[in-house]
Amino acid sequence: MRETHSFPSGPLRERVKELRCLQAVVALIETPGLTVQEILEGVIERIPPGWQYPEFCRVRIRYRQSEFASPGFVETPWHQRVVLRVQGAPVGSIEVCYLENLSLRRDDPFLVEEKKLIALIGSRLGRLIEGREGDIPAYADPARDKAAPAAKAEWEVILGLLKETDRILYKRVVRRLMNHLHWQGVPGVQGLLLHFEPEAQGGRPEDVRDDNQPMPKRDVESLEKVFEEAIWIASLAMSEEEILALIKQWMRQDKLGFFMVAIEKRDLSLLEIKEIVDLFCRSTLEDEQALSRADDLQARIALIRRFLSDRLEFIRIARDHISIHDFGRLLNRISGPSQGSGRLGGKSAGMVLAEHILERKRRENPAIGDFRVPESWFIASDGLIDFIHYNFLEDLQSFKFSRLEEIRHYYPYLEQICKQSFFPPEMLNQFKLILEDAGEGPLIVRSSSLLEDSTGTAFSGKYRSLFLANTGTKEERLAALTDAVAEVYASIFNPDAIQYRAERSLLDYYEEMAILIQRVVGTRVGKYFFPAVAGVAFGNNEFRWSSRVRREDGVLRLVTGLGTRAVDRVGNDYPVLVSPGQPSIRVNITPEEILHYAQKFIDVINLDTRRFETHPIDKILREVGADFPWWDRIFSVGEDGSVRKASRALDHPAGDGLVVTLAGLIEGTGFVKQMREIMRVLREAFGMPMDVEFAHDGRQLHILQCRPQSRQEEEASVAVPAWIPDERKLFSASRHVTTACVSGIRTVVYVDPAAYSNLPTAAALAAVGDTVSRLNGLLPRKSFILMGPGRWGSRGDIRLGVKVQYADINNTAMLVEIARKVGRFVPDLSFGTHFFQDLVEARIRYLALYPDEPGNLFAEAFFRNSPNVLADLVPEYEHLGEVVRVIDVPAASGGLELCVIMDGDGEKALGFLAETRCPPEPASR
Amino acid sequence: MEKKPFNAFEMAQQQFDGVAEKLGLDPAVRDLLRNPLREYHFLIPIRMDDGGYKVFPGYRVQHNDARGPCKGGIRFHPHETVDTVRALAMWMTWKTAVVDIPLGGGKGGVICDPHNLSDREQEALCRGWVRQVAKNVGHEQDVPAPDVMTHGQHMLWMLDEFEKIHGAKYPGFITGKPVGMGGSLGRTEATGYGVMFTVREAMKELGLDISKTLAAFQGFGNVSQYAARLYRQFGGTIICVSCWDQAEKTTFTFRRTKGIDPDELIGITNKFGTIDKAKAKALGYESLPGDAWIEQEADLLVPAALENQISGANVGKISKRVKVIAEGANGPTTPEADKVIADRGIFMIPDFLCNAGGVTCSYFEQVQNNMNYYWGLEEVLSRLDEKMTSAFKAVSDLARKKNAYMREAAYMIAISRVAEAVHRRGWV
Repeated sequence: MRETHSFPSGPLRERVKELRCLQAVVALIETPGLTVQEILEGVIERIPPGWQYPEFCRVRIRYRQSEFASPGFVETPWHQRVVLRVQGAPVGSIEVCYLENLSLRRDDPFLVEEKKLIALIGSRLGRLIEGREGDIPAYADPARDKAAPAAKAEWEVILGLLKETDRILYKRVVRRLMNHLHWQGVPGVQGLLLHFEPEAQGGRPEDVRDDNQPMPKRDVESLEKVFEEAIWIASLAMSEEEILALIKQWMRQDKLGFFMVAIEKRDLSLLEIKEIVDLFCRSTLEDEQALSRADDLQARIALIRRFLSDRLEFIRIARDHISIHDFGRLLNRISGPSQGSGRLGGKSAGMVLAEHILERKRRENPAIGDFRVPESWFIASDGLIDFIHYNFLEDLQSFKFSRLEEIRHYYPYLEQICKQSFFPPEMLNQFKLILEDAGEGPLIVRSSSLLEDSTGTAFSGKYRSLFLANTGTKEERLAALTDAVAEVYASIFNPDAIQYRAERSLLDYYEEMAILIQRVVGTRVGKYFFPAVAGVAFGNNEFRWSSRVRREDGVLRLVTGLGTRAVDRVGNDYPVLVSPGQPSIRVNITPEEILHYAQKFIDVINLDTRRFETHPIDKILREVGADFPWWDRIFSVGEDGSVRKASRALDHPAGDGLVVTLAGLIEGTGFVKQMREIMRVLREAFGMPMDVEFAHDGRQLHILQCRPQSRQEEEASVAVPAWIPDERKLFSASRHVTTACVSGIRTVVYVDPAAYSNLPTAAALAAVGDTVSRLNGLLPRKSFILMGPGRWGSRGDIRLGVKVQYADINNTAMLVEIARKVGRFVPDLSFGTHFFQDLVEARIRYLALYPDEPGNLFAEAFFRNSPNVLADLVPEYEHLGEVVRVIDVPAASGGLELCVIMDGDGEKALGFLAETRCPPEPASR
Repeated sequence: MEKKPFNAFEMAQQQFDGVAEKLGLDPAVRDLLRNPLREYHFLIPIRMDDGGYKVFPGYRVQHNDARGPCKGGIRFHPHETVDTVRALAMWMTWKTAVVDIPLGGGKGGVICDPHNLSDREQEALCRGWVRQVAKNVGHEQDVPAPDVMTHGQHMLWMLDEFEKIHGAKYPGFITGKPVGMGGSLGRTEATGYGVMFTVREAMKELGLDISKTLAAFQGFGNVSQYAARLYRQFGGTIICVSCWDQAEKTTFTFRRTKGIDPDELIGITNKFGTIDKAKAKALGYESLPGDAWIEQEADLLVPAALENQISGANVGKISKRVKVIAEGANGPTTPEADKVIADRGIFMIPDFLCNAGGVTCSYFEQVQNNMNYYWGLEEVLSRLDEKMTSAFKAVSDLARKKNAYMREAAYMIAISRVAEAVHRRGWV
């Protein structure tokens, strides 16, 4: 152990010992003229010094019938063994034993590196024997031995050539070889790398500790020597084919270095980037590891940042799913100012990422099933800026700071200005190319705002999306497209959007808008074009219709025809609601409910008039009959007091009783399961519930759009504040809570549960419903909430809840059902089922209170004792004052308002008195 | 202040007591008829879709079967009380008696909310219900039918389970089945036509030429549409109908004084009962507020929409011209308004007589099931006419004889028929 004094201590020392051991063994093997027996005997001597405890280390080698061992070898429990193989067949073994176990580890005192080292020695000896087999017991043929090293392997030739001709590349390749060996855990390389440690050069340890001291520079010769040793170790540890393949790959990757240099430049124009990525894609194969992992990642991140998003969370997800080749394809579809540096905007970025996530996951998860993303073309966000400059419309940029009334007043005029402006010739050419590429057939022109992406704010419905029939002559189609793009551009000044931005302090942001042009999914039927089914899926169900439906079961809003009716909430029509996690728990149960809450109108593109149109479904059915796509999956027949799936054989294709239920789709296909899986995979990848628009043409599911739900649904989750003093709390709930914030409530209409159930006659009970209806008509919309016992709108026993129809409560901000204990049990609440879908469409919030459950708070005194203004509002119902209590909240509380915060995540809700409209601006998550 | 909570059964008993007093029924008959004859309360355990189990309380109340097997619906309702069901079972006894069909009264159900149950779970519930009472129901004992939140599909599941248990086909066990699966034709038309058969008879009795009368209808659903069609066939002139407008969330009254063609209006009504306002205007209809129907200058008012539509507040608006009110809906008149109408001498066709066409058709369904031969639509409707007409005549004869208000007479005749049956059977 004396020699260890010159070594560094600890693990480093071990690495150096191992390297020396390997060098000694190989030097022996390569000594000319030695027989195998001599070599094996030599190896026995050279192994122990490389091990951690040489004094206690003994070696035995068996080869065919011979056996060689170090003196004093005995088999102990602490031993290593490696088999010597010739052409795969065992011919002997090397065993290393410790006579005593000095290690702390009881069973296995050997280091990992020692295990690798003995394996390496074993394999090298195996190769030696393979070459010499036949020599034993005969003597070695020195001539043959000498001839062997003379024939250089192909890789050595290449490296040699490189060293002569391109020293930079040579160094890069050898460096990567060393890294490779190091990562493979090849012993000796770590020892080699120690040459770079200052201590190994004789420097004093204290030198290195001084971080401010420059490191000494290595001389060229010693570097050269290290490289040679690395090459030598590689030749021991790897097969010739392996080394050759790696060297070729590295040289090729190095050739692509231009790409890395270029991609990192910040000011690269769209045109340049397209050329570079195109060149890369043409000179590499999709599945080849053309760049090193690190470079590849770096390049992907650069491209994502350049085109999709610079939000870190977005990049983190996207980098694992979008390859450079994917970008190659994507860039072919991106237009915009060729010298510009615009992005694709939030909507497009989300869609592109979702597509690649699903594509990738589908390979190992067949449940995702078949899906497509419609052909899309993108116009980068700075197209808008060019458009503005080209038409000298710069003054419009400050328009957003005008007063809102002014904006409202001028917006139609401004829209016309945009529509009558011209596009720069470059953009015009790009539009022509897009139309050539797309051919005829309907397109949708969507806005894809940068603001939407960078802030995670929902702009749904604020900016325009326009359908184009895209038929007619080339000129007509181009005119329609430019007109649509101009209109979408104008929508940046839409007063609703500006108001929305002002409310969220986003006005100062320099909004740019990219455009997404997508082929519309659908089928041509007669003169109409529409998808069989379309809709939107939410990862979280914020409006649950049964206590059995969980929030994370999600919800699908489905319609037949274009999905606009499912995405936007249209007043008097209903989509079919399905919970993908619980498809069998339906919203509408009785035939009357199913008929009432059925879709009655359909959105289509009329290819004759070239317009987006809404028609009664009956009318379309009369025109197209059984050609209606997926007819038997979409329609049911309501007759004779029951609803059953329509049958092509038995039912008239435009019969009277046909009603949209989508029962055939939901029960008869794997559609709901597929959507559930897609939503699950996206939630997992994005780490949050998503909002996905989709369409189905009867043959294939198409994903149209994907964005985080919390941002889109406006109901940013707000935690129930902890700072509310007890005297201001009015009620709390901890079950079936959805996410919402209802604020600025100035009136509470409270139907006292006990007083209500004590009413003596059915007529008196019915009068309560009438009173509520009158109040609903009198009070300002959404400025009041209704609270009362049991099941509102129940069609059964009137005592179970206030008898109202939806029209009697349609102005309320919120419906609160109170379940008081009656005898031993607490009655079931309705969850608004009797007009559930109406509540959803009108965004009337629902809350269930269980005041008798421990932990729940209910300030009954406030509701019972506050002054009742019923008689002032509806004197004719004054006699119901005991039952219906109308509380003017500011008057009863000294100027405060009621605010209800519902935190669906935490299943907690609190109603409390607050000074201003609350909460203070929900922070985006 | 002491107030007793509203109890439907107690109300029904009070009503019965009043009529029984007038009829001078024996105390024992009163005791028997003011309570259900039999009640079954049981539990139905169900394996849920998630693998767990849940137990639902079920029941069947058989109020009286002196005149024939009990008849009445099965309700799936989450907060049913046995008193509500008792009241409804009693009401069924009077209803079958007033139209003089050989059936008694019953009602039943399960405490559950179908909105929380999948189809499979509902099927299990239906089959479980039948298993518990299979011995005590059937076409010769007690015949269930659809009611609140149950429909044809539920009936078929129940029928299937019943037939499996008994090992034979008994289509007459339950009514409300779809046509082709043992249901009867004419079910859709029955209630509306029944209303108009009684109106026709009332007009005859009052000496009015129906073809010279004017009518105002409230509601334009199933009952109202068929009643209006038949009224027009009789030659009457409909001057207005009111209807719910889904888009505007309110009701409108559509008026055309020269007369409404119900088929023309149905042509511009969607299947959810909303009349297209623009088209109606083009066809010469004026649209008035929803409650304008009640103040029209008409001979006949047909409230065929909801409960409590004629109340103390608007009864005064009824025109002097009105001679007949036909209650197509259940309970459209509040007791307060009823008194005013009686005092004014308007001829009232009370709900449980007027809209008994539905239960009569259920009876026909069962008759056809039992003989396993099915009538055509014409035959069903002509037999319905016959039944409704004779039922009406019996009630109006009594009303005339006793100088009683029609509602009162209808109860008297119904209760006395049942009292007679229990007496002649020697029960009391």
